[in-house]
Amino acid sequence: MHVSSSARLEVVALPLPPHLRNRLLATGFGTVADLERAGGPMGLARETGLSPDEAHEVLQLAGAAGGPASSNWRAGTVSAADLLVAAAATPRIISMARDLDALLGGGVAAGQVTEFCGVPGVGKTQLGMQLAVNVQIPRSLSGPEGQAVYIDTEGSFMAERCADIAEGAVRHVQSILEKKASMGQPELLHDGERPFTLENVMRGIYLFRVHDHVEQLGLVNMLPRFLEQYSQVRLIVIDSVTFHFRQDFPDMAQRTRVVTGMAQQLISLAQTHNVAVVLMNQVTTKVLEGGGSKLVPALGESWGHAASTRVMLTWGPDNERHAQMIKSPHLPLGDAAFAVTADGLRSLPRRR
Amino acid sequence: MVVEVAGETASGKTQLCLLAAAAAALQGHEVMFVDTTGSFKPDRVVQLAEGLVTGGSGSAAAGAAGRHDPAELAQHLGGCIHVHRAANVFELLTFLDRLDVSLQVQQLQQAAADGGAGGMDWAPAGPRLLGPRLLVVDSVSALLSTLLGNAQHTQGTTLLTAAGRTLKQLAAHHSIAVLVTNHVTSARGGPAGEGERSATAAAGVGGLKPALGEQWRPQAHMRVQLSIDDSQPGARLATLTASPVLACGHQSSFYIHSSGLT
Repeated sequence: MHVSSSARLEVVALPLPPHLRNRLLATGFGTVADLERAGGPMGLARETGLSPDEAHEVLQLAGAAGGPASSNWRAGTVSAADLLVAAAATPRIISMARDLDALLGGGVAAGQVTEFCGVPGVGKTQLGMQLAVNVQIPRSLSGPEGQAVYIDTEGSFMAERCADIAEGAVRHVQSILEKKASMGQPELLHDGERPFTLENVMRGIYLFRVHDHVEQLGLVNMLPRFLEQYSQVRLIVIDSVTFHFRQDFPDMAQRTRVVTGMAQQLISLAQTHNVAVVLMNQVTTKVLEGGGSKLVPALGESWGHAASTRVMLTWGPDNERHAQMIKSPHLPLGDAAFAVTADGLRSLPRRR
Repeated sequence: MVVEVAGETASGKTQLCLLAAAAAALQGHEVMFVDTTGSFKPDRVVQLAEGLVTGGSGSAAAGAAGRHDPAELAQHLGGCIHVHRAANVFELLTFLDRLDVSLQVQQLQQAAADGGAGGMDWAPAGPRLLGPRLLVVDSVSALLSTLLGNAQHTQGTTLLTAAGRTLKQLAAHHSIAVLVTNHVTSARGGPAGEGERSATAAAGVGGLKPALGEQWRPQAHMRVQLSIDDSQPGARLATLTASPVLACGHQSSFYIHSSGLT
């Protein structure tokens, strides 16, 4: 009657280092069930010639993968209803450009990866800094009231410019608060332990500067631990994710493997810690069959799946900056114009 | 039956998956959605389902007649769709294996509860089928393509076939429809002479072929390749590239709207 837990799960399907896996296979341990019958770590060590420590490790892995078979096949899943509630409860990070926010469905969403692509100078870095500031908007104004990790790979993060943007945001928020206070909500003015001031905003951005792709991969690996320490972080910006991967990579297959691995880490990071991950990507020219060419996001076709939402920043025919939604699982494709001002990103003045 | 949807970025793979989930949930079936890229959006599923109901097209609407209240609809859908997030292929395999085992346990319990013939009665017209009727893995290639390559070639291929086999087993044992998505790579192709053999199947559509290589190709029973139709704005083109029953090469174009796909 009793079906052994995960009897058929094979040893090859366990995340074991190759030498352990090969040893297990060579000594005839094909499935997790075989491992369970080996008689504990000592028995397994005796039969395979692994050290008791290694055998213990193997069995722990197998135990975690096997575990008690639950008779409920829904185990380990989240119902879509819970996700819907959770998504509605998490505030979005606005860009302060009204049309761009509308395009993004109210701002950059937490728990997913959003990618912005564009030619140099179109405003990727400005947008990244703006988001790093705006993620700190206090909860009393239905902001996320979090902090930001900013990973600078190109050396383009300018603290002075970021201070300008922060100052603009602080002034804006202050004016809204005062307006609300005059309308009978004075308690908003004396907000919590971390008031939205220039100094606090600048303190709330953790900057990492990485110089090559090894550092970048290492940092992505380390981010989960960083986020456990700094649980306030609600946004991770990588500006740009591309830079170090466009050079020093003679083997394209190797690059594809490395970047998809990184993408997978970022996706799971976004989901487990419920942070927004914003990636800046460069563009590259793709020659079409007909002989023409068009600008496409860099890093190739398989990277296109890394971000669930993808926005292309371009210069429009009207010499304004435009954001085009080119991929999204739930938002319609569209186009929005925005401007970069001294105070940061703003929407264009309404035309009359 | 394992159906694969391959296609480039933003060609509508996820939309197709979400629509399938919405349609199945509307009919009251349970859906297991394995999300590996963080693209499962419950609000979009509800939106698509509303489109199905109000559009009145297909059999789905008939089953959900009278369920017009959006909140109630969302509640119903949310209860039917179960989402699992897998961050790597090991998690995926472990999860699928557990799903298989727990479904078997449940079936045995059901059989025992029914008494009589007990576990020997495997007639297909047996008790009500348990578990999900639809299993979606979006996307399978996001997990597997990290493993393929020269250095870890043998293990990558082993895991690839293990994943394919597990999916097929699930489909066959528990009569689940399995829908997986794959991305595409440019079919750079070998020497020109090689192009002659199985031209349409291998070369794919528009110079792009499904990723994951030759080893993965026979794993899916049926394959649909999506591409963006450049001739009309917003149009997507679906091409049937492999099927045991239907003629391949059939094309149809569709558009993605806020309320569904047409």
